[in-house]
Amino acid sequence: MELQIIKRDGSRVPFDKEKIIQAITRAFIEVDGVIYEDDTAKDIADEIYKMASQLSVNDKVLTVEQIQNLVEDYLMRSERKDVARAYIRYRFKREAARSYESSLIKELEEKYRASNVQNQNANVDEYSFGGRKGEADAVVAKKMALDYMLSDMARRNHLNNEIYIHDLDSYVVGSHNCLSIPFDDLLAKGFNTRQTDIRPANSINTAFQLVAVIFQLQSLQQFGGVAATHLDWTMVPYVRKSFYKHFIEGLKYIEEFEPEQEPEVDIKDLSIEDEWYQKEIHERVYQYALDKTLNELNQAVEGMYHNLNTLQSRSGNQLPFTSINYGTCTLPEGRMVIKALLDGSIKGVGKLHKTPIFPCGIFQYWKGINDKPGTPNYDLYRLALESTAKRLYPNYANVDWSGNAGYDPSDPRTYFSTMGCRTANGWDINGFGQLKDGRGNICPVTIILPTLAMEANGDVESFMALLDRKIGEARDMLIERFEWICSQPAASAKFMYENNTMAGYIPEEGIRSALKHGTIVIGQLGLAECLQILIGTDHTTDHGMELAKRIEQLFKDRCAEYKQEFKLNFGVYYTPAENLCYTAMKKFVEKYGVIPNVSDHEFFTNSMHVPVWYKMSPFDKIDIESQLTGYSSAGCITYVELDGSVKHNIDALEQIVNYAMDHDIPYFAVNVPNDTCLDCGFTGEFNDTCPMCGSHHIQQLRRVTGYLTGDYKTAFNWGKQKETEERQKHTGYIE
Amino acid sequence: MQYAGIIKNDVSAGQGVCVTFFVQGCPIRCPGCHNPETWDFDGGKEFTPDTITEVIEALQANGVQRNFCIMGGEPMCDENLFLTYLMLENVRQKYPKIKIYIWTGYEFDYLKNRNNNKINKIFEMADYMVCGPFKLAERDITLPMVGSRNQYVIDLSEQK
Repeated sequence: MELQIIKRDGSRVPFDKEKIIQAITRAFIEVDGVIYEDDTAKDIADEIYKMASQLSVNDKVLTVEQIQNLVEDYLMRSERKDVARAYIRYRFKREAARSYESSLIKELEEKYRASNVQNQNANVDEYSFGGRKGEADAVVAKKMALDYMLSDMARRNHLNNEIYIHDLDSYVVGSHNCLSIPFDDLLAKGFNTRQTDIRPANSINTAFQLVAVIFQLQSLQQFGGVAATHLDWTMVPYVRKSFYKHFIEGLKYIEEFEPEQEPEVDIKDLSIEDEWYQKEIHERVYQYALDKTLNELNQAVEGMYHNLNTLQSRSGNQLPFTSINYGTCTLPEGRMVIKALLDGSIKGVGKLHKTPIFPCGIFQYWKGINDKPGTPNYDLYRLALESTAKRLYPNYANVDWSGNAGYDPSDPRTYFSTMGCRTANGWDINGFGQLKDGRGNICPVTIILPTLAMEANGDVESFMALLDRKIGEARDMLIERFEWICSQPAASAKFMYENNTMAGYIPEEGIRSALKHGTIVIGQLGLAECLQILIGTDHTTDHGMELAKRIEQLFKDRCAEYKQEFKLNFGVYYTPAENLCYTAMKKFVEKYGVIPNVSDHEFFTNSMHVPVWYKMSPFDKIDIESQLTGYSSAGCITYVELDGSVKHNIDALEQIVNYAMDHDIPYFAVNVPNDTCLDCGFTGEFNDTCPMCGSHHIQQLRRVTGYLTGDYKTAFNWGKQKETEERQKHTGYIE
Repeated sequence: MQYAGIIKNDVSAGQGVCVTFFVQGCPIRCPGCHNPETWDFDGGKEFTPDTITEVIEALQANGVQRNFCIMGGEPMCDENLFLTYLMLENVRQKYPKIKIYIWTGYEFDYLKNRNNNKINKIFEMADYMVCGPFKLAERDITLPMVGSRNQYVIDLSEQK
């Protein structure tokens, strides 16, 4: 009977002498360079065949492994031990490749079948067709980056849980992170897409539709979020255009009258309060135009809210991370826009008027403009607070923040604005100064502080030395990635470069001319736990705060030095770490075990935040975190957790937001439990049973980074779920 | 003398951030009460002069002026009347301009008609009184400041 062999996949094939000859020949060639005696390999193979035949009596079938062992033993006994070693090396390499391949396939299979969903990013639907494809693609792309692209230093830092490279799956294609879109220009000039071009907006309705379209298009050019930095100002010309149209129509149909003379200025510059409208003479027409405009505006805003919660992007599995900043425009048209945006937020979306997940609204608080009774937009600030209490949005950006010094009070494009998550554009060393539009974060890394504290054996001075070295390595990792991103052709992001959504692009100079205005940022995770390892307390004590400031000062000094040296916008970043808070902790525990006050929770504390499980007043929390926000130029957020009943107590909310702004917090968010009954629509704080209709069909909305997502129990990863459950309210506890 | 506790940062009671003082003990004991642990006159913790200092300081912690609320327990029953009066007198003396809120399970007319000297002084010192027993059948969680529809808020300045 013919000699049979069992392959690794379990199938049986006839013994093939040729394969053995090939493998042995390869080993000889590797050692000798050429093969002198042609028959040696064949002779050995004959021997192996004989031995195998003897072993396989009684129908015992041999495996490939056993045959390989025979070859190995034979060669080891021969005089050519060098060839034996070459053969073993080759066998080992093949084995490693096979196991790599099978683990890769297993991982891909999990993603394609959505059999082990982790919710790394609460906004991605990992169960959807598009989500499954995208997640599987990410597995391959991450492996490509890790195994073939990163420098050894970068790979070691990433794998050792010391410096984390974010969005590794986007590394290989060389896309960048996020962008504040210059909507003023795009709406005024129109823009090109692959198939057509879009004319400038001529009404408020079109302008708001285009905002959603542009958000969508831009989010496909990058891997992070998109923002509008001053949407109230941006929309003024389009309110005017709509108003003019309605006024002319009113004249024609109500008064059967046509104006003798066109306005002398362009319509976009013609205030709705301009004398040209002769308000008193055409009182009815004026009122008609105003009503029609408001109606159109409200419809347009409502359309935008629905669009931004509907138009899935990135292969149909996630909504673009959209943020809109507004609140400072005191022109009548801008005030109308702000009011419409807030009314739309309060009204909610869909049949049950649910809280809009997107856009992340950000109200720009500015002393003298909207902070106190008597300031021109104070009424809108009150409305914003009402919306926050009910809908968690808007958050608050502090236009007076000391970190945004050098902005131009007459240019809203330079007012402090932020991405919803917290990422912000600081001062550009390459000429744009505090201009926010057309700039974004190019790429971030995050230093996992507790790992460094452990590696320094808990010794403060060794830690500071190690941290200094690691900040330097983080710089090199960022430059490595920045250069790779700069080496991409402009054709990879045609919409972005053709329409200058990323500003500064000069074709002759390549895309670096635009990318250099963006930020590259060094983030951090787990300051609280790091301090616990080093000195047994955290920055809620004076002793802890002293060391915390020393650590942050080092980050700040180094980033400032690198910024000058490399002429790139290095910045200190208080990372969102949505997924990292959990995965970094898991790795940490595997290596160092559970340490009280350090790794006895299932997540690391965000950046320099006070741990979420501390009972503390909102004012004390602000006092502590505001001492550290000044060190960050690339983005940070402070939250407080309040009782749901604050929606009946806007005065209290105002006191708290004012306190944060007065204490120079750049970006502030208020977490109010937002449970919505999916049967009757009642919204409040009630966890799993609706107090109105008794339904258990409840959506529990919680904040994840700066954004919201859907229900936290289905959309958040495990660590973030635990973090959410451990969040302590900063009000309402008994002492 | 006992009291139940203090919430030093309360956004769920009066307007603005408030300090809420809970007296201990209640003779009314409405079914469905939110705080039944405050019914027993012997429960809670011991009231000392330091408790007053604690409240006075909490009212301006972090430099943020808070308003003051008393609830319980029953602040307007005879057993607690002295404590309520004492707290109000101290708070009012220190902070003449803040708002003071009292929650009682009694009807306002009943308290008014008692013509009790302390009660009348309390009326003078406080700004708002939320009155009436909690009635489970009329429970409504959407209403601000009250738990059931029969309860109501009296603006004491209009009574003066």
